[in-house]
Amino acid sequence: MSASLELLPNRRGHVVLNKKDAAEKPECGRSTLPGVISQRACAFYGARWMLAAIPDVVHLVHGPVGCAYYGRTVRRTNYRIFSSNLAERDIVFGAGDKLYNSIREAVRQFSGTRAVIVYATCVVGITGEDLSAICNRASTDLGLPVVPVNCPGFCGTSQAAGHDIAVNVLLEHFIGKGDKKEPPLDNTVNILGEFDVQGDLGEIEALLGQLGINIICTFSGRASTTAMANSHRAKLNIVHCRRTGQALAEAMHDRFHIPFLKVSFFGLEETTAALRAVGEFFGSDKTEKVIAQDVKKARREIEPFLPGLAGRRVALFFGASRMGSMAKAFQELGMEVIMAGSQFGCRQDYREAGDKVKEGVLLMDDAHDRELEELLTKYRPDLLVGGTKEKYMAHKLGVPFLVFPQEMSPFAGFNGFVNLAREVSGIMGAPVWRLAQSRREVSKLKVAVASGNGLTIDQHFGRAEQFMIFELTPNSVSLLEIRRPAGKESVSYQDSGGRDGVRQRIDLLADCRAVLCTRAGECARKQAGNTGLTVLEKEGPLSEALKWCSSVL
Amino acid sequence: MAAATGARVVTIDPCHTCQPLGAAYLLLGIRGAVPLVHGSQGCCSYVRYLLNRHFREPVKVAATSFHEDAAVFGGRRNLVEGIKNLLLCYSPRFIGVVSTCLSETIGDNIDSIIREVQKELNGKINVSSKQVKIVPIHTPSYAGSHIKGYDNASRAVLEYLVQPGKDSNGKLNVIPGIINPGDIEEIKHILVEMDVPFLVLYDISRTLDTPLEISMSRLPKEGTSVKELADAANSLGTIALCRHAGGAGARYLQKKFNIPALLGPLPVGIANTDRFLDSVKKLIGKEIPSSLEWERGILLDAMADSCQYTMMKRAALVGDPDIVAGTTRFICELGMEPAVVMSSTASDEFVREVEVIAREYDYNPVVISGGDLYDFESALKERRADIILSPSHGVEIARKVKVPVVRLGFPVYDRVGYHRRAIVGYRGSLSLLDLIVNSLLEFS
Repeated sequence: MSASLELLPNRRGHVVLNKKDAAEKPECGRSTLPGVISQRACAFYGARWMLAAIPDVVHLVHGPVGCAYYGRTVRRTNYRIFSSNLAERDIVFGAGDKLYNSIREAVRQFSGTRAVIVYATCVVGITGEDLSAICNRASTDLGLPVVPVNCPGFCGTSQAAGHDIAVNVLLEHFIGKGDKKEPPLDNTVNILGEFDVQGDLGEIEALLGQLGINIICTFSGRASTTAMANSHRAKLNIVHCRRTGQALAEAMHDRFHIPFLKVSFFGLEETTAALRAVGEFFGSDKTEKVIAQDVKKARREIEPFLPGLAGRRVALFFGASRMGSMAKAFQELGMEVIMAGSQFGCRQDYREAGDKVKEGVLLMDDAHDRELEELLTKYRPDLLVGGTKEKYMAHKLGVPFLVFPQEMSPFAGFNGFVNLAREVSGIMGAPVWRLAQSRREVSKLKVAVASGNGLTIDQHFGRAEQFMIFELTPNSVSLLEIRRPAGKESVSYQDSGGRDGVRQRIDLLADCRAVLCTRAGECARKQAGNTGLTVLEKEGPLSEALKWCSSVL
Repeated sequence: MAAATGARVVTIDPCHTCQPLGAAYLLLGIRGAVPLVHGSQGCCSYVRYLLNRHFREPVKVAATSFHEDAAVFGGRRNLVEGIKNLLLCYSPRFIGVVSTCLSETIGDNIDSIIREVQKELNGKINVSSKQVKIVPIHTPSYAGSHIKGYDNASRAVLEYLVQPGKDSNGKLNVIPGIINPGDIEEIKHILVEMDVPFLVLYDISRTLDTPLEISMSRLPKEGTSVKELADAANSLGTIALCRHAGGAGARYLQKKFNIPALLGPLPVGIANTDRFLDSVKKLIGKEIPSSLEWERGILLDAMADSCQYTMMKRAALVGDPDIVAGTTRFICELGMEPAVVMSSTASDEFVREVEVIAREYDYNPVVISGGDLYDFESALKERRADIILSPSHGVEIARKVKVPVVRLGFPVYDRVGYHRRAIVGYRGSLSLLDLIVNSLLEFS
């Protein structure tokens, strides 16, 4: 099965159409092709993603200044960063002493530090400096843990390598370093793979709080050295992002016998399932009450947005593990997911995503700039969700874009889901997209006519069997095509989401400026108006009606 | 007066980045060009992300995606395959191969690899070496900053492309440096007013500020064409607006083709803009029209109207050397006192330039060359300031010391539209003045 995208030969296996039960999923975990504009970053970036938010340690980047400059900003937040700022002579003559002195100075500047994390960059990985020996020496002299993170940018195939390296560093040097004899703490959890983007953690914490559950440590949105040292005392580990949390959970299970649950707090269903699973684990009797009241509130709050979202088509391109849970969240909003892709997802991520979306949906691994551009022009989704690097290309093509991990408000939990609905609705509904279209079409008008006999307007909008599509210019009228709404028996338009006849007809005419019909229901007019389709009621011969039409539009 | 960064070895919160960014910035101003970063994916990803955030534009920069095998055995295969894939995806007219610390350290000879690829390309994938120019640009990240990267690239591209003809083209070359599309548009406006035929080399004004058009266009249609760059050797003169970023290109044309080169200062404020106009006049022989005198008068009028707000206010400036030095003079012209003046890229010329201005106006600023944000904050706490002029990375410090901040230079990612603003020319300076005064008023 193939997608209708032009692909480089080596990319074919990375793009597949989803098939339920089929083993066929995109190839993943491979090196990126040289010469394409991939959305992936490097292992150093992955390590920073995992470790940057640890507040009470010195973060020192051993390499040229650029890596520290870029590594300072993680998830749009700036963190204090130190750099050994390697210059040419350091590359030639070695930079061991410079690193040692840098560590000493950094610790002096940053009083109260509990440890030093030293990141190795590409050039350090090549020159073969004995990082561990220097860190050990500094550690002995300073009486602090000085921890090397061996994450030169070239290792692995993406930032995922850096995540794994960072996980090992956390396990080796920070997790469970507190009193081993202390017993587990009742009603406590750690959250693994949660980075507190725009207050997500606060939402999750509040939900768990209602069940009487406390968080000891969140890896690594809120992970002080103290919290990490005590994290072995949690009763349960909650894995929120598989990519950054699963390996850690498995290791903590082996080492401290802490059981773990993989859950998601995105979307109503997933959040509900997460709370049930956690509540059941702790034997909480409040779970159903919390769910009932919060879900009811969230449903009430998203209601105004739903008509504008129903049936709209969304494409998702994420880091790795959020594809499945976010696809589900968008489907809960009544939207249709047409593509789920990721920079460095694993087989399990794609399997999960494949289970949650329909057959025929595109699954794409490591999609590069050119492929995404083609996706946007050929499939024209109503919304693309992804990272900043994809955002502005979508805008140039007139496709609304939502940045995820999000930039404005939390998306996790029940409140977060309401935020998601509001933001998606606001972005897609922004007048700019319509204005951008109208200019091009200013001298050309596409108009639909509900006519069964081809001579007069003779059909009601909601019951029209066919629409004749005309293009009007100031001095010509031409018939482009005839479109028929699919009947109930048709497979292609069958929709378990319950798209009704009116909605289907509006979608069918999405590119038209107006529709001429004998009558249309109040609700149909309103829905059509929301998508920019003007409903004109008129009877009589087509030629006259079209002439009238071009004068009023 | 001039404070060295002292004996400290460790850098704390750097505010400059490495060479590949500067080279990419320049290459994105060439029509149909795609920079190809020869190194790890991160070097490309970070560059794109920073440019995305500053310009709010799509940025096409590819990478040869080094992994362990390339790091050990060399990146030849990656580069060869990378060029071919890039051609298949975008059919660029120009590929600038940007080296990194990694590829330079392992000793990849990108010049010879590119020559081989070009030979091989003739006849294959429907591309001949005449249709696509592939240029090696050496930008080891451990030698100098992004400013140096731009500077190196400004020379490397010209060396490769220029074709001296018999006759002069009667034009003025302008090498912008790391300044904004808004600045370049303002420079063009001035030259049009002066009726001077010009060639902006590496013109990002319409490649990194493009309209929403819906139609698909793989690469921006604007920018300086390869043909125009080739013609740069036949111009009457070259002005590099930024001495540190682009000066190398101008000096190359002077040395090789005897084209007079003028380097800086960036025309911010009255005196610097006067000097720019005089330079143009001298090189091309055109008079300064009354329309520009009018703009000058408007700026002077605004300075008079607002001097009660600006007088004796203390300013702290940080950023790229040419922008900071140019703006420091304007600050003095406004009756403000430069308290701390810091370039993120180290340069003795910068220090000299600022000291000359300070002497002229009788001020005694702390001048820091090549400092980090820790230096800036320390100096600020010692000397105090009423306003900070800085790229986005100085904003947190401004909040900490509770003074207003005017965003200036590159990058500005926490506000919109700064890439469209100009600070150069009389009109650009006027808009900067308005920002400064209004920020002071807002804060008082």
